[in-house]
Amino acid sequence: MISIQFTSNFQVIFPQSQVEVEATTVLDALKALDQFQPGLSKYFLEDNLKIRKHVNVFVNSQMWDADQDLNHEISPGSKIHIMQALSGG
Amino acid sequence: MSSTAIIGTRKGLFFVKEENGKLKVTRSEFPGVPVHYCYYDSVNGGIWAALSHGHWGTKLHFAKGLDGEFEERSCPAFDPEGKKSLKNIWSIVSDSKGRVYIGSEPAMLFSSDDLGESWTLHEGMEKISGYDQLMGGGSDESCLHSICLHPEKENSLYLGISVGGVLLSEDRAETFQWVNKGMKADFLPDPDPEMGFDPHRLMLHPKDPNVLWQQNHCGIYKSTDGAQSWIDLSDRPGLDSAFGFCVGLDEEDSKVAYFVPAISDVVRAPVNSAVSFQVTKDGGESFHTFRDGLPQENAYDLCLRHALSINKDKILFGTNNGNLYYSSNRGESFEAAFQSLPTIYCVQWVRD
Repeated sequence: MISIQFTSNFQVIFPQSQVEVEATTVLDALKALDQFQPGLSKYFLEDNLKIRKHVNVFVNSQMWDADQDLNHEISPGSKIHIMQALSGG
Repeated sequence: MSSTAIIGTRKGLFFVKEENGKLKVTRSEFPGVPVHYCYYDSVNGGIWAALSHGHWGTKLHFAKGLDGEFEERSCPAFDPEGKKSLKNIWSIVSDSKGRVYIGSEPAMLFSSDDLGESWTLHEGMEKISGYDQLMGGGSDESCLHSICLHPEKENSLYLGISVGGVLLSEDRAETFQWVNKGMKADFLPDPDPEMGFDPHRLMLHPKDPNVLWQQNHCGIYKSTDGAQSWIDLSDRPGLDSAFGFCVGLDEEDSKVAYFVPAISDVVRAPVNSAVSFQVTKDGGESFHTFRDGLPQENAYDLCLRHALSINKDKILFGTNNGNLYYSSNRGESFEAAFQSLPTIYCVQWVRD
C-alpha cells in the first residue's frame, strides 16, 4: 500500500488527513484518490496529468518536480505528501 | 426580477439584497476562495459558482435556488493526451432546454445536458481559422468570456474571445465562423486581420437580436446586422474614453448601452483618476457621462468585464478595488454600497 498524506489546509475540501491506496506509480497513486471522492485527483493534477503548478508533491520526502515522470514506479510502503506551494497563495 | 445580486470576488461569493434603497450582504460562501465567475441559472433553477483555487485549480459548484447548499460538480476538461489544461472558467450560460454552456481559458466551449455530470468539448472550435493563434489578453492564455444565445434562433450563438474576436455558430455550436468585419486590432502589425481581435465583453440584445454591443480593447463597437459588420463608435461625442472592459444593456431598448471607462490599455485607470459611468441612449451616436456619487479624485477603480449588471433602473458595478457602486436611477447618481469587499470579478442581478 502507498500512504498519501495531505496538508492540513486541505481538510476544508477533504476531511481525511491520510489515506492508503494500491498503486505502483506516483500517477496511479494520485488517480486512485478518486475512489475516496470523485474528482479528488484533479485537485492535484492538471487535465494533462501534470502536477499542478502550485501543488508540491513529495515522494518519500523528495519533492517531485512537475517535469519528473509521474509514471515512475514506487515501492510498497512509500509515502506521498501533498502540500500547497507558497507560490500559489 | 428579484432584488438580489450575486457577487463573485477574489475571496468568496456574496449575495447582496436591496431593501428600501439600501444594499446588504445576506449570505457569503467559499470564504477566501476566488470565485471567478457566478451565474444564476433560471432554467435549471440554481446558482453556478466557478472557483479558481490558488493551489487546487478550477472547480465548479451548483446550488439549487438562492438558499441551496453548494455542491461540487465535475469540471469541463481538455484531452489528457493533449497539451491544454483548464485554467479558468470565464462564462456560464444556460439555454432554454437547460443545456449549460461554459467558456474557458484556454478558449474553448463546453456544454452539459446533465447539469454538470458530464461535459462535451465542442471540437468545432478547434477547426476555426487561426485557432492555434489565439492569444492571451490580460491572462496567460486566450479566454472565451462571452456566450450570447440568440433568443429566437435556438441553434445560433455568438462567442467573444480574448484574443481572437467574435465567433458565430448557427448549428448549435457544431461549427463556427469569425464575424469580425469592421473591428480594429491596432496591437497587431496588420490591423485588419481575419482574427486576432480583442473583444473585452460582448452582449446580444435579448429583444432586438440583430443588435450586439462590444467593449473592445480598441474601442466601443456596435452591430445592427447580427455581427455581419461592426461599427466603431470610439469617436462619438461625449465619451470619457472608449477603453474599458464591461458593457451593460437595457432589456427594453437596444439603443441604450452602459460602459465604465478607463484611460487606455497602457494606463488601466479612470480618466483623471475620477470614476465615470458612460451611457448612450441613441444607439451610440452620442454618449453622456455620469459622475454623481462616484469618487472624483485619487480613484483607481477598474470595472472588470463581468462586473456590471443592469436590472431595469437598478445598476450595480463592482471594481478591482472592492468597491460596489449602486444606482437606482439608471446611472444618474450612484452610492458606494460597499467599499472594502475583495476584488470584484463578477456582478449579476438574479433573473427569474
